[in-house]
Order: sequence, then structure tokens, then C-alpha cells
Amino acid sequence: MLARTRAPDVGVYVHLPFCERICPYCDFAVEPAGRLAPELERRYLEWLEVELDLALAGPARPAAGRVLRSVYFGGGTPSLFEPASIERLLGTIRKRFAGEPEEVTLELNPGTGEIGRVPGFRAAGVTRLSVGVQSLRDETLRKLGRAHTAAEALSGLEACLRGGFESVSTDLIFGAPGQSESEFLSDLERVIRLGVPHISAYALTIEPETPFARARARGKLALPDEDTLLAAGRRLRVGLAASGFTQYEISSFARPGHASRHNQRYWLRRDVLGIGVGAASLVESSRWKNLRARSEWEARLADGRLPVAESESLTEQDARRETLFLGFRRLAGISRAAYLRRFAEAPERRFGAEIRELRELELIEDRKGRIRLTERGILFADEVFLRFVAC
Amino acid sequence: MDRIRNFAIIAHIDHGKSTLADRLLEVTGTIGTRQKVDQFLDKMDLERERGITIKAQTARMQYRARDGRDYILNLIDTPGHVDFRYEVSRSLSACEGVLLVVDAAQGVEAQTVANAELAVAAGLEVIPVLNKIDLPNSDPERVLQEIEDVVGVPADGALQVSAKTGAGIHEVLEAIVTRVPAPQGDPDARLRALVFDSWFDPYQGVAMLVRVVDGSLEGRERIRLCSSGAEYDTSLLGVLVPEVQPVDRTSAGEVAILCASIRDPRAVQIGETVTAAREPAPEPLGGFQPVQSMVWSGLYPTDPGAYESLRVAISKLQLNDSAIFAEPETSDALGFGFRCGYLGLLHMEVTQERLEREYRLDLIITAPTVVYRVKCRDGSEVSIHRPSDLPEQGEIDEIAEPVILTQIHLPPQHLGGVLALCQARRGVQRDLAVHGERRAVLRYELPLSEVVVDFYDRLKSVTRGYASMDYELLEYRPADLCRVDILLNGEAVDALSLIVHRESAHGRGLAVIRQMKKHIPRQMFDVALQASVGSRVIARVNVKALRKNVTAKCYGGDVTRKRKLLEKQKAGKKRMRKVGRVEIPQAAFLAVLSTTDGER
Ligand SMILES: Nc1nc2c(ncn2[C@@H]2O[C@H](COP(=O)(O)OP(=O)(O)OP(=O)(O)O)[C@@H](O)[C@H]2O)c(=O)[nH]1
Ligand SMILES: C[S@@+](CC[C@H](N)C(=O)[O-])C[C@H]1O[C@@H](n2cnc3c(N)ncnc32)[C@H](O)[C@@H]1O
Ligand code: SF4
Ligand SMILES: [Mg+2]
Repeated sequence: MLARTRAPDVGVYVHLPFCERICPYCDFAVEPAGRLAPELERRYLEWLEVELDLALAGPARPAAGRVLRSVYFGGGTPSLFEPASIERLLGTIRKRFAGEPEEVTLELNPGTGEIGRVPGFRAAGVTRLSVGVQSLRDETLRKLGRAHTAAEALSGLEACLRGGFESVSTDLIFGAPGQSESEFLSDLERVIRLGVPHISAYALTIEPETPFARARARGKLALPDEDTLLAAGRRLRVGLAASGFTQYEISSFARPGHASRHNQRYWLRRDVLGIGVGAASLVESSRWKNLRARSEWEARLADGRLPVAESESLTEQDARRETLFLGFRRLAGISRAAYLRRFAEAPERRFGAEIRELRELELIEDRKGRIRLTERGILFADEVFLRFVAC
Repeated sequence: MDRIRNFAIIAHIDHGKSTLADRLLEVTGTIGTRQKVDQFLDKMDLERERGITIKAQTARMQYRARDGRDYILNLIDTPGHVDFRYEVSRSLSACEGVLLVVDAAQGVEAQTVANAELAVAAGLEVIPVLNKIDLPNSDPERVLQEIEDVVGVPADGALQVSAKTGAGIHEVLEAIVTRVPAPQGDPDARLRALVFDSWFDPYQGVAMLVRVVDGSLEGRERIRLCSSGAEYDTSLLGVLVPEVQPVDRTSAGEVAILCASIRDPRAVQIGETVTAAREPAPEPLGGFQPVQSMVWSGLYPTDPGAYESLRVAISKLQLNDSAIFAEPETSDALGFGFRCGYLGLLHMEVTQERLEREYRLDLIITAPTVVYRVKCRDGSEVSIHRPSDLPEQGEIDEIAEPVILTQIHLPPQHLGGVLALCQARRGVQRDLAVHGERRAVLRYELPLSEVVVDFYDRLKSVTRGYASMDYELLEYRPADLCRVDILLNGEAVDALSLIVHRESAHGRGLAVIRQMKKHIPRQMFDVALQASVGSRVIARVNVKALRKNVTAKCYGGDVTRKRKLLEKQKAGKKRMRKVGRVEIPQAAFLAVLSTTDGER
């Protein structure tokens, strides 16, 4: 009854949890694996393939055979895997779906070992690299517990840019311990000058139960103050705009044509099947999330069962809430027409008071048929999202 | 009836009443050792967490005495803290004797004296029991002397026990049988039963704990409440052993639990006389003295929509705690709520926690205040239960405040510090008695408002924990008082006003807003906090605006995780109350409490 403009399609996320060592701020599903033993690599791949088929026979069944739009190898450090492994995985995935993916991203850490594999990844079918640079200052990289130096990051990034990819992205962290505003801005400038067409800049989040959280609790972590963060954030947006980048999501900036297709699927609530430890999926009205511990994940698969830790079935109201609190992450905001098409009502129908209040607080605005964050709203985005979750 | 003994265990806080009750229940086989948990009768989670008794509890035991006969012993374990004194006095109405427990190491403390006085005044047999004789620092000789000198009860018949090891427990049971008188009363007279405790049971409705004074009651009988004349059919008659055990009949001298499908919690008042509908007694029993609330504060639902649930919850809780007084009030800042009277701050805290836990409410409680009496220029007199009701300065002729007589027990070496503390709180010394090297009893007249705030904590810290105190209301005295208003972004918030002595107005006003600043989270705009007397601003602080609030970390597709984090954040905000645009957490409303002398 509700006409959808797009035929249902799908993206696939593959979680590769191994890292050379674990950064003290990280709380992703990761495990230290040095250079990653070939035996471990092979075994993990095999289980991934088992999971893929189990999922497609189970809750992801509606997605089987759909057009595959994007694939994302995330981590962890996917670049620890051999290009041949990535090629094999990509092949397996593509066989289960139709069409040709428009974007195949792989996260790469710019260490010496990984850089040699860049041509191999290209040949394996990767079209986009996301390079975990984080900082271009040795001192800061050391404090962040990173495995690479600034020089390696720079030459690695250059190698990626020359590698013939359709797009290359760089992750930067601001608000790192001891990092000043000017240090961050000079990193940013160098990255822009190299010609990177996509930049993700994240304010360091201190996640509970990480070594950083413990250090902070003991008063042993000197973090930049709010003014520094605020100034860095503002100059980041101004600087990137001046260089021809568009901020298309709160922490993502792209030159025309370089916005990440896969990541936008999340904000637009398009189906993504995630496989691997800790991976999250959305297929139609089901969300589920895998076990984070590899031993448990494997044990379930060995048992012929899906390694799901939690799952939920979303109601229409859940879907409306998500559409809004995820949609506001994109600076283009939420299209009223799309919302109306999907839910046959205006956002105000259920969230009138919230929208009115946020407008009065000047955190959101109406512009050309869309509701979106204002400049101030970008700074207080959590205040906006909050209004649309339940409780 | 000569085989029944009704007794209560009374003592100063923590002297081991509940632990002694455990041993009595065990030795008589009332609870098996399998059910064993410490302080078995402390049933509320709150009691277990805090390690104190809040509600008196009853248990019926069977005991074969050394004379070879079987006795029914009704035990009532009572709380020790001053704020729950009313529980003790009501319990005593169902007893003929008490075990006065005294910690053999600590000795006599303020509530030992106060509770013993209640028992003596009620004409009960008092059996002193020295507890904790297993402690290496116990000193029975000295403590026996203190019982004679300070409490004024003969100590020659005192028992010595350890509720921990079980030593001496049989002697306690024998003493109960031989020394506590059997209940009196006429089993053939018309039924008169005194309701001395009650609670609301979701299935049975109002449950009444009664002492049958005269006559007898059958399991299916129709009863009548003397005060209202209302009649009900008994739906449950039982005894507590300690869980409910139905019985067919109960008669004079016994303690029983009675339910009659009464759904309205307000239908039954503590002190009510229950009689039989077919042959009602002509005269009700005496009932209880009404309680006098010491402190008052406002109680509001955090979610304004929960007012009705709060109203119902309060009336149910009042059934179980008749010392709570409540009347509806409205506040400009907080909307509809209740002004509640309590026996003290612990009572207030416990009430809030019980309402929140037992009735799943989220509450805002405003700063406690005492009741002031104001004489106005036009000759009228008003009682002020909340500071914002104080008339304008120009209309006031005189303000009088309640003064209490405090009895402080302390080791003499700490006298200097305690005298200084009382002096700083505008106290007037009454007298001082020293009993031996270990104990002095100091009596002071103090404004109640000066004691409410943090006097007890300060007393404990000045004496390294060795002092105890008790108090009673003395009289109202005129004093130079004024109202301090607290303004949020220029608007006075009625729920935050306080009445203080004029000389400390500036210090207290500043201390309160500084304390509030610590609790009010930064918001999207600046929040100005001011304290004023009349139209004059006497202190000001600012809560600087939050400049950003966004966690933009990449969560990949893990939308559930991000959503849960947001939900948690939102729940935190919901527990705050919005006053104007400002979100205020509960702690900020009580800022006035944490005002320490250092900040004055
Ligand atoms: N060593 C020792 N400790 C005891 C004895 N009796 C009680 N205690 C301890 O004293 C503390 C207080 O005991 P309770 O039985 O809770 O005291 P209470 O008098 O019921 O306290 P309130 O109800 O709060 O007034 C607990 O930690 C007990 O374990 C005893 O005979 N010997
Ligand atoms: C899923 S991680 C994996 C990328 C790669 N392993 C790396 O660390 O370079 C993606 C990005 O999230 C960001 N990130 C990870 N932990 C973070 C934290 N605690 N606070 C802010 N950003 C974080 C980093 O910028 C990282 O590049
Ligand atoms: S390299 Fe990336 S994924 Fe691995 S531990 Fe560090 S931040 Fe986490
Ligand atoms: Mg107790």
C-alpha cells in the first residue's frame, strides 16, 4: 500500500576484529592478534561464510538475492587480512546477492605491514579505503597508543591516494590527550593538502571500562578543555568548507561525490546485514547484534546456530523514532516527503511537542521541505536525538 | 490467659534488639535454622540495607518453660532511632513487659533512657538485658551501675547475654515467663481490640494488628470500628509466627492480625477500637496520643502527571506509618504536591525512599523546615509550615520558633567541643550531670531549626561517634528571623525559600546557592542563582552554560547501543524537575541540608 520509491536493496558489513594491539580508548569488538596468524585468519573467514549462510536462511532471508549496494570491511583492523582473503570473502558475499556493489570500503591502518597490501586490496575489488591516521604528531600517536608513526601515516596515506581507488577517507581524532587546537588544525591542513577527498573527524570519547576511562578516574589523563574542543570543532567545519568539503554528517566531510554510501545506509535506515563478532544488522523490521566474544560466536556457529546476542522487532513507532534520531545525524536532515511516504503522516503527528520545543531552542529548522539541525543544533545534537528516543 | 506473655524489646539504636529477637525465634523453634538470616524481623530492603529497624515487628512463639508448661510468647521488636519512637510507644500498648537491651560495651545511651521512661510510664515490667557480653571491651559492672544511676531502674535482676553467640538466651525466656505478668482483661466481656499497627495488603486490603483487650473474636465474625461505626466481615484472622497463620478464634490478652476486605486505606486509624457488630462494646479503648510532627517538607512527583498515584501511595503508607502527616499543597514552581510532617530527618528520608520503592514513584522533596508561629501587626496569628508562606516583613510583629530540650549523653572529655557546638547553634545550657569517668549527661535548650539541619552529624564528629542524643519539644520562643529567597534566573522559586536567623542570612544564603551550583548540571544557557532577603540580593553565583553536547563517535551500525545510551541520558533528565527552563535534580532542593558550619 505504501509505495516505496526504491526496490529493496542491501549493504553488507563484515567485522574483522583483529588488531596488532589494542588502543587504550577503543571499545569496539576487538582482540589483539599481532600480525594475525594465517591459521586464525583462515578459520575466521570460514566461520564468516558459515554465518552468512545461516543468516540468509534465517532473519536475513528477506534480503537474500537483493541488489547489493555496498560492502564495508570494518574492524578492528581489516588491513591485517591478506588481499586474497578479502577477495575470497567479497566473492562469497557477491554470490548471495544481485548486482555490482557501488562501493567496497576497507578500513586500513597505515602501518608498514599494511601499506604493502594496498595494490592487492585494489585488485581484490576494494574501491574505497578508510585510513586510520588519527593524528600526524608522534607524541599524540604515542599517547593514543597507536601502532604507527606520523611519518608512516603520511607516506601510507600517499600510497593509498596513488593506489587507484575511487575514494579514500581519513579518520582523525580531536581532543586527544595533550593535543592543542593548533596541532589538530595543522594535521587537518596536511591531510587536505595531500588531496584526501573524505575526512571523518571524531572527538575522542572516553568509553567506560577502557584504560583511558580508568586513567581519567585516577586523574592521570589530561584532556583538552571544552573551549579547545569547541574551537577545534568550529575551525574544522570552517576550514573544510573553505576547501570545498561538505559536512554531510556530524563527523563526516566529503568533496562532491565522495560521501560514503555505506555509512549513509545507517542514518537512512536502509537494510544492512552485518556478519562477524559484534556486528549489527537491520533487515526490514528486525535489528540484531552478534556476540562480541569470538569464542562464543564460534561456538554458536559450530552448533549450527546464529551467534546473536540480542535482537528486537521494531514497531512502526520505533521506526519513526529511529528515522528521526538517525536522520538528524545527516546535515541534510529528514525529508518531509520521504517521511510522509514511509509513514503516511507528518513527523509532527507523533512528535509535535518535541519538534516545537527544539525549534524554539533553535536546535532544528525547516528548510526546503526538510527538517535539519541548525549550526547550534550541530553542537547540541544529543539534545535533539534525545527527544526522539522512548522513555 | 495465664499462659500468655506479651513483651517488647526496646533499646538504644544498634544495641542488638533485632539480633536478640533472632535468637529467641531460633531457640523456641519458631524459625528453623534453614530460614536463618540476620535480623530476621527486619523485612524491608531498606532496613536490611541500612542495618536498622524502622518498623516494629511482631512474632508469636511457643515455649515450654522449665516449669514444664507451654507458653505463648508474643514478641515485638522495636526500632531504636528517635525518629521511630512512635513505633515503640504504640507497641508497648500491646505488652505487659519489656526487655531493656543495653550494649554491655557502649553502656546507657540517650534512647536507652528515653525508651525505658516510656515503658515505666506505661506501667510495664522492665527486665534489663546486658547484651554483647562476648565483646572483649564489654564492662557489665560499669553498665549495671549506669542502669541504676542514669536510667533509674533496679539492675539487680539484669540478665547478661550475647545475642551473637546465644549465651544466656534461655534465661531470657525464663525471665519472660516468670517476671512479665500475664495479660489481664475479661474474656467474657464484649469484644474490644486495639489496632496498634496496620498496613495495606494488595489482596486482603487493610491489615490490622490488634491487641485483644476484652472479649473474643471468631474467624468469620462481623466487626465494627468504634470511631466510624462502619461494619465489615472478617476475611482473615491469624497470628504472626512470624508469617501469617490463620486461627479460628482469639481472645483477651492475645495479639492477632485481622483483615476484613477494607479497600479504603483511610477507613482505619491507628488507635482504633474494633468491636463485634452483634454485641458492640459501649465504650472504646483509650487509643493513642496524636504525634507531633517535628519537620515539614514538600513532596512532589518528578513527573507532574503522577500526582494521583502519589496521593494513593501516601494514604497507603500512612496506614503503615501513622506518624506521617500529609496535606495537599501547591507550589508555583513544582505544581501539585503535599506538605508532609515527619518526626525527624531520617523519618523524612525513609518515607521518601519507601514511597519510591514500594510504589515506584520518582519524587522531589523540598528542604525541611520547622513550623514557625507568626504574630501579625493586625493582631492575627498564623502557623507557617513552609517558608514561602511567611507574610511580608512589614506585616510581621513577631516570629516565634520551636525550641527543644535536648539530652546529650557523652564521654566527659568531649564536653568542650559539644558546648561550643551548642553555643554556635544558639543554645542555652540547662544542666550537666557527670556519672563516673565515662558518662556525662548534658541538657541544652536549642532552636529546633538549628538541630534539624546537621546537628547530629556534627555532634557525632565532635565526639568521634561517642555521643547520643534525644529531645522533646519545649516551647515557642520569639527570635530575630527572616526569609531568604532563592532566585533562578531572576525568578524566586517558592519551594527553595528558607527561614533563618537574620545574622546568618548572608552566610546561609551563599552556602545554599553554592551547594546548589554543585548539583545543577550545566544547561544550554547560563543559570544565575541568587539569594535575597526581601528585595535585596545578598549572594549570587552562576552555573555556566554548556557549550556543546554531542558524542559524535562512530558507532557503525550499532544503532541499538546508541539508542540505549540516549535513553539512559533521557531517563536521567526525567528524574530532574523543570523549573521554568532550568532542570533541577533532587539533590539541589536539599542543598540547604548540607550547609556545614564551616560555610556559615
Ligand atoms: N559482638 C556482638 N555483636 C552483636 C550482638 N548483638 C548484636 N550485635 C551486632 O550489633 C549490631 C546491631 O544489631 P541489631 O540487632 O541490628 O541492633 P538493633 O538494636 O536492632 O538496632 P536498631 O533496630 O537499628 O535500633 C549488628 O551488627 C549485630 O551483629 C552481640 O551479642 N555481640
Ligand atoms: C571502528 S574504528 C576502526 C578503525 C581502525 N581500526 C583505526 O583505529 O584506525 C573507526 C574510527 O573510530 C574512531 N574511534 C575509535 N574509538 C574512538 C573513541 N573512543 N572516541 C572517538 N573516536 C574513536 C577512530 O577515529 C577510528 O578510526
Ligand atoms: S586500531 Fe582501531 S579498532 Fe583496533 S584497537 Fe585501535 S581503535 Fe580499536
Ligand atoms: Mg533492630
